[in-house]
Amino acid sequence: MKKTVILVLYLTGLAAFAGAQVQGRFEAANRQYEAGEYAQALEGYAQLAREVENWKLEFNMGNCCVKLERFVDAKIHYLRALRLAPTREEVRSNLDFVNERLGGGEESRRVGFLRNLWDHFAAVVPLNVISVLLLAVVICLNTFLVMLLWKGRRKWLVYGLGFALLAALMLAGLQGLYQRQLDRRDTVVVTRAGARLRSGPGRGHTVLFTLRPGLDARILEQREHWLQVAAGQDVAGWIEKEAVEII
Amino acid sequence: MQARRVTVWLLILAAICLAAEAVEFSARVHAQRIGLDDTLQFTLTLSGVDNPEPPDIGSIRDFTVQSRSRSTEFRMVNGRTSHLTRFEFRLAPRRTGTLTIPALRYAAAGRTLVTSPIQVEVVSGSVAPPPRRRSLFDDDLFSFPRQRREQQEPVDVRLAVDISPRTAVPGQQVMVNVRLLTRNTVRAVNLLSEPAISGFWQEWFPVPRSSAGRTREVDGKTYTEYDIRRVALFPNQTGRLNLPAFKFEIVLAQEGLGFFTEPRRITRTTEPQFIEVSPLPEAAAGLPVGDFSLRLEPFPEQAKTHDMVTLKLRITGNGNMKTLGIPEVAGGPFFQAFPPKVERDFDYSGQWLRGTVSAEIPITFRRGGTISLPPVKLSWWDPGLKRIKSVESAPLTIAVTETAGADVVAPETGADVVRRGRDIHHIHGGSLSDQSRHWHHSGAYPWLLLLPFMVSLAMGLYRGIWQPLVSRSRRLEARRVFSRALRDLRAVSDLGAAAGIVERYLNERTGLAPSRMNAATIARSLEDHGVGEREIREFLAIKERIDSTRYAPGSGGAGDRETLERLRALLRRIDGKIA
Repeated sequence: MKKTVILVLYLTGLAAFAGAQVQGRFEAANRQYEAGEYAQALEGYAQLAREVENWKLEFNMGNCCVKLERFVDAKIHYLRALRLAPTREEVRSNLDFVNERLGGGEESRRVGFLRNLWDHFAAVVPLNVISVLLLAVVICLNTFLVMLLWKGRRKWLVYGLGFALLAALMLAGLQGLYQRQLDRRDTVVVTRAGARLRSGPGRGHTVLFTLRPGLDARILEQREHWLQVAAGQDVAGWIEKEAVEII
Repeated sequence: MQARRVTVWLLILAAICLAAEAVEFSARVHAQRIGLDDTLQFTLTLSGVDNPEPPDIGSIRDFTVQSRSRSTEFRMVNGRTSHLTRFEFRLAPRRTGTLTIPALRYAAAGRTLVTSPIQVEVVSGSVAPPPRRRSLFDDDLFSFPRQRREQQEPVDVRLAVDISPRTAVPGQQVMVNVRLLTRNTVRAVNLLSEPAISGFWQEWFPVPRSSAGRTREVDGKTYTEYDIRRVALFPNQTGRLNLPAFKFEIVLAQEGLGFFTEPRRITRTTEPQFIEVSPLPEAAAGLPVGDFSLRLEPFPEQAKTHDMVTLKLRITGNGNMKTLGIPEVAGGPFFQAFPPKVERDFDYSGQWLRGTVSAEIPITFRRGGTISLPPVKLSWWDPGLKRIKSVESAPLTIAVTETAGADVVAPETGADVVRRGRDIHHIHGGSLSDQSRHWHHSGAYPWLLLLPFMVSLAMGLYRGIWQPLVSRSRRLEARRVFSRALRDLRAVSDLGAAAGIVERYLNERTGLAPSRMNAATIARSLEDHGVGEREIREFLAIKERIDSTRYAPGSGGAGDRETLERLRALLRRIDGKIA
């Protein structure tokens, strides 16, 4: 027992120490940015991003890239930040700024009412809360089930069971929606100058368009080293994976 | 009972929710009743399996497989793809009667999927519907010159395919023309199935509503010739590309019969063709292919800053105009070019498909002065001349008058934007959590979710199956009573407390009511159940001792424990003997 407590305390301390280390390095990178050392700050953020995924890191890296006038990279980081924190207006605003700088003049993708509502809900109720609620509801559901078995059919037990089942299904659905959002990597940003959009997945296919770096497009299909992408309403074709960065 | 049924259903529902599978396998036929001369269209549909192996239909004994085909359907919903594969078979029945297509099995995703057996009634002859009547909505309708009526019989109708050119490069226009040569009166021509032409961008010419036809001599005979289908193909692959056969239904007029006479229908199929496509030279990669001309509309000579002027250009040619890119007008420090408005038109009247792309490029000027726009340049690969051709407009010059509020500063660097008060939002500090850590991804989470269901399942099985089983089996019931008595005796240390346990045991095992329990009735009952005299005597002695300490608890001490141990040993001996 004593050994277990010591092990738990040791692991907790180790985790806290690692957390403090990450926080310290993040603040150091922030100070470098404030001092105008954008390249060093970017390097610091990039190292942290290999260990931790957080929208602030991507946002700050985007800012560093803007200051270094690497607008395509900045766009990639802002889009990643937006995927992690879709409701952050400052990310959207900076993305618009970068889009303008890239010459497209386009605005960052505006979303519909329902999507907006969902994003706000997801910002307020994180996925881990949903996971815990689902677990609690599943335990309640099964408690009702067991009680129904032992006590026989009681009205309040049947109602409780019904509500718990509905709640479990609803929470499972919500968890699925969250997961789908996490898994959705359907945007690419063109990174290679002179990248060609072709009519099929192969270099032998006809070139339809030459894409400018920084253009973002939606993935329609993937095939080995090729992606079928659509930019806007009218432009669609196949592009090599090496020519783009998947967000 | 009702609660148990509800429980079982809920458990099944929960299990289904937890293990959702998308793999499905089904079978269907086009008709439940066919003739011996007909064929049965049998379709097996498999969904959720990528690139599946064809199912084994060797168990179908009553039919002969005449043909088989396969088609795949890809669906994409919200970024997720799903596959649906259909295996279609044409089966000819071997005999008449009620024939059965047995249940077919298919192993996929670790499961064996089974279709339902299908019964088909086969009668002699044919039950196929009569040939379809000509519809007002059929594609083609040809009128035929009256003077050729005398040549309607016998049927002499043939198809020919012209391909020009037979060798091409990707993006080059290849014209395919299907011609009908006939010595009969043709009332309609229908393309029976749209051929799957892969490896080409296709532009089909509109179907002619009527055609007068041309006269042509072939092998010394006079035919009337019609162009029945034309398509411009633009290869997008290299190598030998196949052009599948086109199958047509041709409706012939019957000579000398009334208006309502059913016309004669025949089918003709073209020969499959191929086109050799060689790659474009490296230098021409990405360029349009064909022959083009570029024309710019007159550009205004004067404008004001922030006025929007439109640069209009028009490209005409015989290349693939749907994929032709608009020459880029790159914005400069003094003007900004916006995305163009593009319109594409086709001209199907000529021998080749020609088209026009019109673009309007809006331009605004950032500062005043005489501003030159760079020339507009279009390059393409000319397959006839086998070289790259280019056209370039003259530089466009415009006098821009500056207006109040004009921005005279040339486009700025990122840092310059700060001076204009349009900086980006500042970096974010604060605490940094890892957003990729989700509890439901941990290995324990699914088990935590599953565990309550497993407990419920175990309870359900215990209450729904084990307990009814025990109550119905005398042997199991006796075993349960005996085990419980031993367990209860182990739990007590006071001899007096064992009285109730012993009485309950005797009651449940021998049926002796507690109110009638005394030494004589117990002895008789045990004797009746086949227990030996020595065990009965020992049991009665222990029972007497228990009864004597019943009303004086805690008086036994170590002796009680020994007596209880003896009682347990005695019960083990006599329990087996009680029938």
